[in-house]
Amino acid sequence: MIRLTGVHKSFGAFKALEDVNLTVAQGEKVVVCGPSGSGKSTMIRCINGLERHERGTITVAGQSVSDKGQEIEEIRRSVGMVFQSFNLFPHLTVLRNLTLAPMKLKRMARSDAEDLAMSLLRRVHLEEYAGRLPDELSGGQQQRVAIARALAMAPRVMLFDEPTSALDPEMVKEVLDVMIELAETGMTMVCVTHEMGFAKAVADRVVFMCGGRIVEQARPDDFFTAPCTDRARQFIQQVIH
Amino acid sequence: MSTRISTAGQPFQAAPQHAWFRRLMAWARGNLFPTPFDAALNLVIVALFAWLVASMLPWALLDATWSGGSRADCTGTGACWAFVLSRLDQFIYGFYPAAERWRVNLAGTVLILGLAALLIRAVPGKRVTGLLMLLVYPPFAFWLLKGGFLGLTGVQTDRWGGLMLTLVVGVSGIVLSFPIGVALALGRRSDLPVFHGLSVLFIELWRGLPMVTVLFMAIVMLPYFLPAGMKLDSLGLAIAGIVMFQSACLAEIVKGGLQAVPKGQYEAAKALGFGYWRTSVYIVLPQAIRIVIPGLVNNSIALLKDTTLVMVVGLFDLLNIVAAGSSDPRWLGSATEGYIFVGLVFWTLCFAMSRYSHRLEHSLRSRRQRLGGVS
Ligand SMILES: Nc1ncnc2c1ncn2[C@@H]1O[C@H](COP(=O)(O)OP(=O)(O)OP(=O)(O)O)[C@@H](O)[C@H]1O
Ligand SMILES: [Mg+2]
Repeated sequence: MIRLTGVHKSFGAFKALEDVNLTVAQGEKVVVCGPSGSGKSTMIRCINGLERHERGTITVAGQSVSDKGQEIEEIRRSVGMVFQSFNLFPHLTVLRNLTLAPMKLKRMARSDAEDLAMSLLRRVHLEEYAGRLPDELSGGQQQRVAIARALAMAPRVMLFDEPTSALDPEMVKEVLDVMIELAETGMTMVCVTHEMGFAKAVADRVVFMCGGRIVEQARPDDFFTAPCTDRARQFIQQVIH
Repeated sequence: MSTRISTAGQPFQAAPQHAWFRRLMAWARGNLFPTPFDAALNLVIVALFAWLVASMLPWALLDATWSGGSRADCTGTGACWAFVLSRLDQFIYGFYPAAERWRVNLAGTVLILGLAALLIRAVPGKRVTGLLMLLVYPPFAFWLLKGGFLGLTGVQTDRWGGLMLTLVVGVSGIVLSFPIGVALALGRRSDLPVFHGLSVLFIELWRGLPMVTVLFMAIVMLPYFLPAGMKLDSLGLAIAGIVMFQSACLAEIVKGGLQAVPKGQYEAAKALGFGYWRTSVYIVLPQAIRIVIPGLVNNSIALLKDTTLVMVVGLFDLLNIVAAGSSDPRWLGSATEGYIFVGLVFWTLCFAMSRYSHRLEHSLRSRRQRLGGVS
């Protein structure tokens, strides 16, 4: 479904990604972790072209992520993304946040888009909030709306960039629960997170990044109990505390 | 504030128990006399204001003359409102033929109704009304006022004048410069070198010129660049000059709003698959414009007042026509009344705009605050 081969990316002289290779199969759930500044966000943002990679190739469902406007927009429509800071559209109600993209990008009729939006809101347990503005919701609720908004485009892949790290602890669970339910539907997911419980429950594979490289890839049980590298061991120690 | 009100509450407990009186006292205590110094300051200001009104009142109302055919009829010591009243038609319609004034009235009425439908919250159908007012109303009003085709007799623009001309210039200036200003603001922030360069050039060129200069250039210089014999309409030129100037100012204001929209909004839109234009139209501009509403209204107020500069190109807007009227031999010496009248008209228009923008800001903010309480 997603394939990165030999991807490099630098910001000026700073190398954010170096020779990154990653393959994600259809329906697979991959958790990406690693210390701050290791390039997790950069990698995930390269997948839907929010950052341009310099060398190597990235394909999503066989389509190559290029910098041509039309093609990249096509790819983005089938790749959902959830941000750390929710980024809901504050001037639109929750319902309009969900219906905007299907109506404007897929020319879906308003009534169909609203039916779809309501069924997605039900899925994230927020149907009674359809008429609210995003600012009227708690962080956890906003993030669940953001997940529903991404799902409204019926994506084939979902990317998550630390979806719970801007949340108060008591709200983390409601978002993770929604993500777990999503995983159970067979969605292909790439998820940057430090939530080990989530990784253990859902992930088929944990990818550990450090210094712009993928240092280790393993099944969650193996990774958390017996990491191969010292860096990963240190990292796991820190996350547990 | 609230602590002051509550601590000052004791001594007034014995006051009469009427609810309105208590509320008035509470308000006065909170707002007028929170401390002895504030109380003294407020008393001084109230006294000054009372003195001002008392000294104006006899002249402005009590001793004023309200009817008459010339300055000679104004025998009292007060203002000569007869001047303004006897020429009111001219001040409103300029030299527009009396038989055709219904056209101006109709255009004005439709404008007022349209604005009311847009500005009053409870009226539904904002989008349709807005589009009608932006796309259908201007050509309709142009046809109605200018005529010359489709069954209306032509009224050349040199017969337009007074309040009607002021509003034509003001409304066209505001309506036409808005889309241009938004496009320029987008251009200024665009990555496309040509679009960006042209926008910057346009903005910097027009913004750096005083409005009077722009109008002079339009009327004096432009004809040199046109084929000989081609005569330009001074009203059209004046509006064109104002629109250029105004769009450059608007572009700077809207740019501020664009900068205030967080980067995450662009990214969220991009990630959903929105391209540049749809991101701008559906996500960025609605937020940016909401942020700069106070600036936009300020700018519109300034524009309305600047319409008085069209006198330099020989147009008789409200100010110019009143000035001209007061130099009529029969009414010599009535300039004061004339200018007060013009001042009142402009003040009313500008004050209405300013109140509306305050209300809008307030309602946006209170919605925000209500939200803040929930989360
Ligand atoms: N737009 C940018 N310009 C310059 N440097 C950048 C930019 N974006 C990221 N970087 C740098 O690239 C490196 C990797 O950033 P990235 O955001 O991918 O890290 P991360 O693993 O997501 O870290 P975190 O856990 O803090 O989110 C960092 O050192 C960062 O400073
Ligand atoms: Mg990151």
